[in-house]
Amino acid sequence: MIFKANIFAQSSFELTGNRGLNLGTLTLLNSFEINPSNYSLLNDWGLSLSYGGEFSNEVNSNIYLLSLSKKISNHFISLRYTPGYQKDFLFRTGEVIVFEDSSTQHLISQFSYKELFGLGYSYRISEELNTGFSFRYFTQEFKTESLFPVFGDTNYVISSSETETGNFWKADIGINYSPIEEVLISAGTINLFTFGETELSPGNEPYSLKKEKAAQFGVSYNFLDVLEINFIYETSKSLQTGFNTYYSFGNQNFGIGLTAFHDKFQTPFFAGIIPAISYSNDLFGITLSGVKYFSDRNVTHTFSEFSEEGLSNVLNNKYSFDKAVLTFTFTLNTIKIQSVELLDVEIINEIYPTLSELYLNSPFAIGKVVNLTNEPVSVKLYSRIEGINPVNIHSPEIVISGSDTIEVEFFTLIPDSFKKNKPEITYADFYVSVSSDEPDDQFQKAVLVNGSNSWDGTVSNLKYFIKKDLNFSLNYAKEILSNYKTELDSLQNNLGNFYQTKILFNEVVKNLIYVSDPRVSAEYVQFPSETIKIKGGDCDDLSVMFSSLLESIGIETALVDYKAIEGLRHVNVLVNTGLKPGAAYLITENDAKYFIRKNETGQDEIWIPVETTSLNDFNTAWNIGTEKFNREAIQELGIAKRTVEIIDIY
Amino acid sequence: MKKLIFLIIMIATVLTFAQSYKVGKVTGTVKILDSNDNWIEVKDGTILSSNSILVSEKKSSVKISGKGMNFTLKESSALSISSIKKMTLDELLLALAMEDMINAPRKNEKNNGKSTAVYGPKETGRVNEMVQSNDFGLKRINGAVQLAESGFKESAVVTAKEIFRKYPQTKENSHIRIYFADILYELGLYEEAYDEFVSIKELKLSDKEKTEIESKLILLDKKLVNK
Repeated sequence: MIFKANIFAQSSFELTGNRGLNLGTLTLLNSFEINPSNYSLLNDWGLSLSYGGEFSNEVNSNIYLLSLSKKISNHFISLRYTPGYQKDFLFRTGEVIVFEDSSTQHLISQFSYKELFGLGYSYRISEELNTGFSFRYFTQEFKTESLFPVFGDTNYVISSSETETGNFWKADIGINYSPIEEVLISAGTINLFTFGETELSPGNEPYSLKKEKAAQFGVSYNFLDVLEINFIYETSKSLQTGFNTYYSFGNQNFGIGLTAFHDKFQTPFFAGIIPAISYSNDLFGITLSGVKYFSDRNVTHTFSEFSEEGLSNVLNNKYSFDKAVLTFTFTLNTIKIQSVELLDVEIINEIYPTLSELYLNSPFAIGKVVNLTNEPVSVKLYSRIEGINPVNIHSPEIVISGSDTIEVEFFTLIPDSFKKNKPEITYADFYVSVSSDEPDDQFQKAVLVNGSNSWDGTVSNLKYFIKKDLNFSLNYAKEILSNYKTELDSLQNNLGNFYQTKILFNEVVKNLIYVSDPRVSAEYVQFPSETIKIKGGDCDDLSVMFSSLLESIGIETALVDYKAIEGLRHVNVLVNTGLKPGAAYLITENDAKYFIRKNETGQDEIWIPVETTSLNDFNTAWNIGTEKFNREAIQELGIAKRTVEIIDIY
Repeated sequence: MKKLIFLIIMIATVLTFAQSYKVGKVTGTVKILDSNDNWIEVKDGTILSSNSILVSEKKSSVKISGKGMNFTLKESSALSISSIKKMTLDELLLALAMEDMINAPRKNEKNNGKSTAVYGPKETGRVNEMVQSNDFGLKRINGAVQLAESGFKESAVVTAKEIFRKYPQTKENSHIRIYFADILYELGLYEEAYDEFVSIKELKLSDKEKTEIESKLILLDKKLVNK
């Protein structure tokens, strides 16, 4: 990953030195001098302001730079205004006016060079590769005083001033490549194109800014995010090298840097250094830097020297003075930084609307999430199934270690009121989020939502059909039992469960018929009200209906799942009579006809197996249920072998 | 679910009946208690279904045969026909494991609605609660002992465990409990025997029984350590 852009060169002199574009230090943005490719790790908006002074004979303070940057997707655009990037020269032309009082006035020429505007654009091709270009607008003004003789009645001379301006644009390109995280290789042009240039008169043309074409190649190496060493070489035989160290305390970053530069036009070999210290946090950064030249700058240069060498760099040349610069950088993130990515989602369970509680405890989908940061993040997971969930359904939050990829579970909630007759393909949206406002990533997947009567074939899930229609069952059971009030009131209390079971079976189940499932792909289970309404059903429907009637009036039941009879499964019902073992004789003398189970307090209670598909009287259903239960669950050790499972409704 | 489940169940019932025992010689009064709670006196040649319980009165006995086995039920005994079967040691271990599963208290997800008050004569929920006489339980235990004596030790242990649960008073009979715990020991099921002796230790025991159990526990300790 490219994390720094360090195209530094002496000729691409930068006031903050070799500080790079590391976001941790948040130093100067939009330094086209050191970064012709305009590369940046900025995420959204950025604003830089550099203010400083130059220490010539007197201190001249200036706003050096004001810049604005914006990242849009993989595109990065920068604009800058550089009023302080200028250099003025005053020369004596050699002509002197001698006044009558013997005083003299030297005529002068004033050359002014400015870099006023800049525009940069870069494009991130991949995590490793970035390329871009920058345009810079220069103005230069040549003002020369001269004397003109005027011949007339009286001969005299007058002095006049001629001013000529010459503007032009410079364009450069650059590329950055990071083969491994620690290394960044950079290449860029110097003075690749010049356009829009105003033609100067032959007299001023020699003093125009030099535009010698060259290239710059740089490399930087980062040791453990603490120390960074940089080197850049220009084909024009200048170079620059330096180091930066960084110290981070949470989101507070402190940095120290030192850059030494060699300019072929200046002496000594390392013409100067640029020390810098910086502080930054997530919002802003401050850098205090200075330029210290090793040669004496308070010397007078001859015009012939200037005329011979010309000027290549407005900001850094042999005529420049020491400087101190304070740079403020502000960033504004209106774009969320993606911390986690949802790589894939697998729907592991179709949606069966009636099994609603199931999806609270068992995930319906598994996602694969990667932490894109190096730090542990707490990830919020939520989903919404179109047509089912009016709002997002949140799954438990999960912590993912830095750069780790893990599987996460999505749970859902199906409203009680949700009804659907036919299966339908719909879509589920899955979201992962680190902050609460908006998701870091999302994924959409098709999901099959079955009809309300569909069942996944897992017998333990029949209990959801039992619970769903409990209100109907309660009213229906009460209505029937009310006809037996006298008989039930005369019973010993502990026989109530048994006789209510018997009455409900004889009044309801006995009068039904066996009807197999409709020919649909998924198992079809009727709600108790439907079974009673159509007066029939298969073993699932009948067991669900009978269990629901009993549960609705407080009689505990369990479903018995006979997992294989010659490949066929079967379900019937166990009923808790509530009787203790010592009172078993009240319902039967044959101890093979009941089964002892401990309740939640550890007390033994008598349960009886009832075969709901017998569709005969209660005693027959009890006998058949007993025979099957004793043989398959007890004698053949079905409970131990798990071929028979007892599933309590609650 | 598939069609004809009910038919399959009925066929299975008939097949089970066909595989049951046949009464040989009957002495005195011997009855069967069928699945409809009918007491039917058995005679020579009577076919016994697996859900039936064979019950002999005093000075009575019955010899039955079937599935290649013979068995004589002595006086004052009761035996479920389905318990007359050979079991392997592995099957016994599975059966004991199943017993533990069944004995584990259920988890109840809801607040039990039955805890709401009932006013009037049923307020306590214990009115007129009668407890079955222990006689039948003792007969069932006698039947289990005879099962063991006839070589059906594994099946006898399972039967005894079932009886202890269905007739809780029989569980207080230390003599019988020790008898079946010894069978577990003989069968090499030391952990199961150890647990059973520890449980028996909680009963009211004679000094002789206490001594016997202590020595058995010491012996089993050594066996388990060296296992």
